[in-house]
Amino acid sequence: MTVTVIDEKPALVVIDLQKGIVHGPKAHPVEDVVANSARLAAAFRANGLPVVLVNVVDGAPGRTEFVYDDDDENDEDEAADEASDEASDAADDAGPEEWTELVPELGAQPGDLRISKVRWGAFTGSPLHETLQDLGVTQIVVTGINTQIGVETTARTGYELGYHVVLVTDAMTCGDLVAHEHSVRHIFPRLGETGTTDEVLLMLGRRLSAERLSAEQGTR
Amino acid sequence: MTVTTIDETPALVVIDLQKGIVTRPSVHPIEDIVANSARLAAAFRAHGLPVVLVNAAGTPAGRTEGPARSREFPPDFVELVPELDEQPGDHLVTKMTWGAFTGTPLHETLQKHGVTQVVVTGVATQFGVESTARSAHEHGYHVVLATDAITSFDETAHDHTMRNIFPALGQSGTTDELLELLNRSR
Repeated sequence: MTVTVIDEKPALVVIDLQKGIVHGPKAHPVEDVVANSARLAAAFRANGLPVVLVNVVDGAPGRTEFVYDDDDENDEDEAADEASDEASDAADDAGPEEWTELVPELGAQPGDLRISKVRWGAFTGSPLHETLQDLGVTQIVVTGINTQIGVETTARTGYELGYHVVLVTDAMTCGDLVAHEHSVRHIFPRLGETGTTDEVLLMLGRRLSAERLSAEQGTR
Repeated sequence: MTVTTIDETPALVVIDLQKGIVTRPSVHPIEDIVANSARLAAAFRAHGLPVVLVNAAGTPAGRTEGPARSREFPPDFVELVPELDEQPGDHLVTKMTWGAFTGTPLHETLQKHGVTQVVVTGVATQFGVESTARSAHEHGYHVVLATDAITSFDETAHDHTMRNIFPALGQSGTTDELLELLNRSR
């Protein structure tokens, strides 16, 4: 773990914890990923920090090699198929409203910012960057599903846009453990810092204590 | 080969074939990567199609776990390799990021030329090439990866990206296959 600091203005960005995406076998228990995201959201809200809940409602139009195949068991490349499935599922209109609905266990609040994305990442073609800039956000703390698709694309773009990026490794998952581990070990450390939910909450606590202390000292 | 179509207006996007990067050890012989990119560039130019030569001049400011890198690269590091035979009509894009889209005029340039499909080559598979490919897919382009014109210093990462990521965001072909398809399509 090397989350070195939580900035004064971080934002929590939760990727695609919606009914259509949490469905299906994952490398880690989905309920843990959702619960950890919910814990982080509660802590951010309690301290007046932005909580951005992202869902995916469509996919990119480009031609791809992997086409959605109903019979997933015959697919050798689970990870790529999963990524393509996600896009195809989004494009197909299967139970549309349910598919895009955030899971209730996430505990969405009226004050949360909502972004509906139509691409893998939460930045391209959405008002996310503008919104974060208006709020003076310098750091994004990212969780959600799928590690190597929605989470990673958002993290890559966030890093490119100049944000400090924190990946909360026990608050994310996908259908393929190998893909998850690869992103966590080989990609994320080079574009940001990784940590568990407990570690991030600890660093957030330290930031808030330091702020309170300096505020108290300032008023003496 | 999984490429089904070469569009009317594809563009070639060559990632970071520059002096500071081609001197590093690579999984595949770098001279092959450069030669294949150069062959594709020559063919695209001959057909009057856009050739975009990208180089990396630095890294973003965000804190990372490492390794520590300088934010700006020295002048000789960023120079494109001469084998690419840069021509006046080529589009040069200098980036301070992994991907060639963020913070650059690449998307506007491609749109101005009516480009609908990008063929991507270069280094490194999981960083510059992959971020560019992900962004291209997000920006609505059909993405083609020239499989024998892409490499990395890390074999596991190269294989992982080629097998698990690229097929989900685009199609692929070897340089020979793409050249054949390109020539047949005009």
